[in-house]
Amino acid sequence: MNTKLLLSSLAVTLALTGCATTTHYVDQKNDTVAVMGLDYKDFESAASEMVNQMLASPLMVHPKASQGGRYVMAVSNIVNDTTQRIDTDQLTKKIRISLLNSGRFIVTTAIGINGAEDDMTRKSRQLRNSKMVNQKTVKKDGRVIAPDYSLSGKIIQRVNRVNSRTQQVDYYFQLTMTNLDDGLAYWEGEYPIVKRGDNRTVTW
Amino acid sequence: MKTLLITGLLAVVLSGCAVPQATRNYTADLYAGNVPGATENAIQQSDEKDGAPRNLLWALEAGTLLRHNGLFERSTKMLDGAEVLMKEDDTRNLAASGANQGLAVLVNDNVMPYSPAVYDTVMLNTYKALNFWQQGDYDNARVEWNRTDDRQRRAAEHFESEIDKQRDEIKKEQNADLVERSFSDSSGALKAAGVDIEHWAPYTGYVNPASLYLHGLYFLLNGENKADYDKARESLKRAFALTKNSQVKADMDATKRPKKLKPSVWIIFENGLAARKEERRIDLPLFLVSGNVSYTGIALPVMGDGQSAYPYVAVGRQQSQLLADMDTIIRGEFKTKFSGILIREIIRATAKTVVQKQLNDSNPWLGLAAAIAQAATTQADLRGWMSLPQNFQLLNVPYPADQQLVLSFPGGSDVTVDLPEKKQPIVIYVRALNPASQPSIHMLASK
Repeated sequence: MNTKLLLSSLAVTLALTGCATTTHYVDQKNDTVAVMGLDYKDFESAASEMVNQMLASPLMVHPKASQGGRYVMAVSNIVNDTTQRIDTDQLTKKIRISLLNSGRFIVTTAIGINGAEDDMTRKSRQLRNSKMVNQKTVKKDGRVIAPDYSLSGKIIQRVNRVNSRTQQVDYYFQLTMTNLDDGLAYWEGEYPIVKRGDNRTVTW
Repeated sequence: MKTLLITGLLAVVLSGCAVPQATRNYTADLYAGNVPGATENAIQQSDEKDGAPRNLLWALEAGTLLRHNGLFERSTKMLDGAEVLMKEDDTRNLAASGANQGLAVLVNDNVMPYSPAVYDTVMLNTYKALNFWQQGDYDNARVEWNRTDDRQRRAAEHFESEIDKQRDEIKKEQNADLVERSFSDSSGALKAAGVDIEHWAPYTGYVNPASLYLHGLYFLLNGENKADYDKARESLKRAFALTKNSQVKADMDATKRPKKLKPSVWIIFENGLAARKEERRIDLPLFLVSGNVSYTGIALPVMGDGQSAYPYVAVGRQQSQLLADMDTIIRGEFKTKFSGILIREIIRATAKTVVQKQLNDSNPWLGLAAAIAQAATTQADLRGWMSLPQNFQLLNVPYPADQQLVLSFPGGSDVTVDLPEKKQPIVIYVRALNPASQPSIHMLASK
């Protein structure tokens, strides 16, 4: 009986070593593969849903919108309070692109919570006394626009056991638009993503 | 075919060796205070390929010692690799592991890949969180603390189902009746051999109070908003319930007014080396065929004692107090696994003895060879994360006016730590493996 066991074990091991996944493109519109962590589909859906909510808010319309008036938005801190090692820029970038395309907002890269996102606005002014540079082309002081709004937020995660085989993970994307004039939150949104899956291992 | 089986058994005897040479060297280096030697050995044994370790247990040892050496980024990379291997262990294909389990029945548990203890998983994320904190990478530290928290939540769930699973293992066996009878009859033989696991009690809920406390302290010192301070309070409350350490209570109270926290120095003392498994050979009566009892030796792992490096660390007349006893955590978890280990050992001894008898009936020489193989392969699985501490201690002292903190180790030399000029809440993390090696001392700044 043990010989049979040994041989069958050997056969199973051999059978399992023969499988490999080949690289292929993913049809992003019809991709139904889900992972317990956060992937591109989650960021895509969270960003588009929250932008729609934001644009539907009457408070988010510039008083001179009909003449091309736009709010200037600075991106503040987005806290990743999950167990996933993610770059929160993945979320904000999609939101920024959609807001810019809506024609209602422009994002400043000269002012940010931890300094400028693109420090070139400041650095280009340091060319003022450079003999090499045509001084007429050096950007003038007093022209950088201060932001009207600040976008901040948080991504949080809750994990619960459904039964011994299944666990449920809830992700909440929470964003706030603060009017920097009065410090009031003019818009707030929350978008939950719920997934159920294998409880044998952790969600990250 | 039977000769093939015997040859196979003999061939895997070596691979199933209870304590390989590399482990013996590592243990000797660790206990003699040769940290560079132990670190190098652990890195080599972690079997890195393309920058990722392939041996879980050695990756844990290497990650811990790299931290001790102040190589935090390298340590995190090693521990990240270990975490990937843990995930693979969690989701290992049952059919594939069935093949290994079949082999384990013929040899011993050492031929199976190392399956991490639950406290291993909690400590892995705790160490990574501390690495990121040390490096001022607060975003990633937060992620690792969240992971630590989730690991602790999973721990309680895991142990609930562990006992049922062990009993189920008997039912699946071909010799189920015989194994059941031997198992039920084992307690007397175990007691006679001095194996008494009844007094090993874990912390309630199988929680590691040190990880819980450090989680709370991190969010107390680095919290960004009310949700963070709530998180800190919850962890410190639970840690206080388990430890009754007065500083934990003070920190818990501080979460109510975190902005008014006075600058002071928290000293976390990670002390000594944790309890290790030792092999105990026991003669157990095995019921082979009804009424026919044969005596066969089984080899069981039992927990030894950990060793502290120093009884405490002191600043002036203030001494550190116990925060968490790692031996309690390790033994508590081992207790839940002990029945499973015993059952597997009885299954293994029964199967081997049945084969031995059958071979002996056909040819006494084959029977003799099988007996030799059985004796040689009867070895306990003694693997475990050795560089974990015996205990964690805690001390909080006022910020010294001259920015110099003098740490005293009883029987060892004093160490002076220069603190930042600007008074702030600061954590000094002290790791002493044993008196033979210098303690490592690192500063964790608050955000």
